Amino acid sequence: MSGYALQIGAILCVHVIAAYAAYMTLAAGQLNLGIAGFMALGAYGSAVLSNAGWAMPQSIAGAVLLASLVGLCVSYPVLRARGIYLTIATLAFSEVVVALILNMESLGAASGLVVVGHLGFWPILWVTLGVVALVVFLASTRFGLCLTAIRNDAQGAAVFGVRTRRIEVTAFTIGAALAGLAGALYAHHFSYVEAQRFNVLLSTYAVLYTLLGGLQTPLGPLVGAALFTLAPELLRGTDEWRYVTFGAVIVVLMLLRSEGLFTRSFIHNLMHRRPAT
Amino acid sequence: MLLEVANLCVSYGAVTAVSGVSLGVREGSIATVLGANGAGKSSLLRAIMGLTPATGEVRFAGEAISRWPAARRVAAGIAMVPEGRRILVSLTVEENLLMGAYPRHDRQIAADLDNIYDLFPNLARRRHAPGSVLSGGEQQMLAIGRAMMARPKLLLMDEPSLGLSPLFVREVFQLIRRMNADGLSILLVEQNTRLALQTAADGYVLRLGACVAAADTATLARSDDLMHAYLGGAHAAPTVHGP
Repeated sequence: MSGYALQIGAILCVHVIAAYAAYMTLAAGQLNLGIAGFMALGAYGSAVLSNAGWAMPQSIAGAVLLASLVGLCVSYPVLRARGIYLTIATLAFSEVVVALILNMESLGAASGLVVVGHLGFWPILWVTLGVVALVVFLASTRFGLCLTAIRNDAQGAAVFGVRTRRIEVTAFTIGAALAGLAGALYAHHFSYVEAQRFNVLLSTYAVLYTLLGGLQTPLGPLVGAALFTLAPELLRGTDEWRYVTFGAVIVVLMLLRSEGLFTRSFIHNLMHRRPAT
Repeated sequence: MLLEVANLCVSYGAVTAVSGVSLGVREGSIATVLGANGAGKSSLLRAIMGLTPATGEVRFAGEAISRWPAARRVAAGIAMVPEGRRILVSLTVEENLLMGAYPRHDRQIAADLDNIYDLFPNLARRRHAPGSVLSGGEQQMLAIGRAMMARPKLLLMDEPSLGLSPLFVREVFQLIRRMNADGLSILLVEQNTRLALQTAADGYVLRLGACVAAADTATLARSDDLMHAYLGGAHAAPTVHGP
């Protein structure tokens, strides 16, 4: 594979993991726009640890742990708010993380940080496949069923004895961990991190991949991230019109398939082709 | 008494929905709570289930459960068919039923699922269809089946006849009698006073959050004044009312 393809592949993998980070909280019915903040924690966490002499796997694991712990702590106050207020709280959290990094000289402030240890495309791909397998597995468990139940009707789910708050906190924390992982992989692939990269647009894209791919199945985020990372590359020939085309495609998709591209009925129809009547 | 409620109060901010209600459900019997819209019937059920903060005493099977979270009450054997059915529309019929068995960890779940399908052939045919494609009556059957999947000792039913056709209303009440005959204790909230009085053994009448009458249903059915005063005439009431 060419260097260009490998680069796109690595970016795609990071996008896929970020999309799953957004998916975890969305699956429980809450929009988390703090993905970029957790990615920054993962990226800077792994950067600092490996610059301090840790081996790369350990520093990535440490960074994921850091993002999860912060996610767990943040989730309690944040999940007290609902709907749009929760979204604003996560957005604020993300901005605070970036602002803190920008003001810390030890983290390179605005000039960023060079990261020791390079990670190529293939290990990133394996990790990404692991993440996909993990989320697909989670979705098939009672926990996954509870997520959908809470997204449908949180009060209704409580009637069956579902501890809704515990499930929501768990989903949010797993999302934070995945975002941290995406950030760490990003840092090691580009060997350089800067705080400005982790802005609200990054979170928005992660959410967009998931919503366009569809929330109904755990493969939605994969489909969404793949399509919307590769589409602008394929449209590269059309030059400055490519983002216009891309935007138009998103609008049309949202109009035609508001539940996302990859829905349960889509899979159902694919697997049970009805004979023509 | 399987369920004893003493001096239960529910408030939403400054608004009092239930003020000092006491009632009981005898083991193996059906009790009904009657009252007009806004009398506090749903709030009462939700408080018994632990879904809404309340003061007062709730005892179930001899244990004080007032401070228990909803999940623990479900595990102890209280299930609820919520008002408006609350079908989880993104889940399939079967997944909805499995959600009902959420507190259970035994190996009988699959067998119970088959029993529910035997009881409701309509649900069996659509087991893999999303809950959203069911008719109102089928949704009510699903909601009841789902509650039964928890293997409850006590079933709280909030307006099971609401929005159903006369045919389905009859079917739901037949089902209530049958489940009761099998030993299930039921606390039934209904606006269909006539049917509720025919079905239950004990009745409680709520008005503006307070219990204004408590008696066996035969006595309540005879007290025309009470019926007229609080419910607008039980005997004149049609069997079915619109949504």
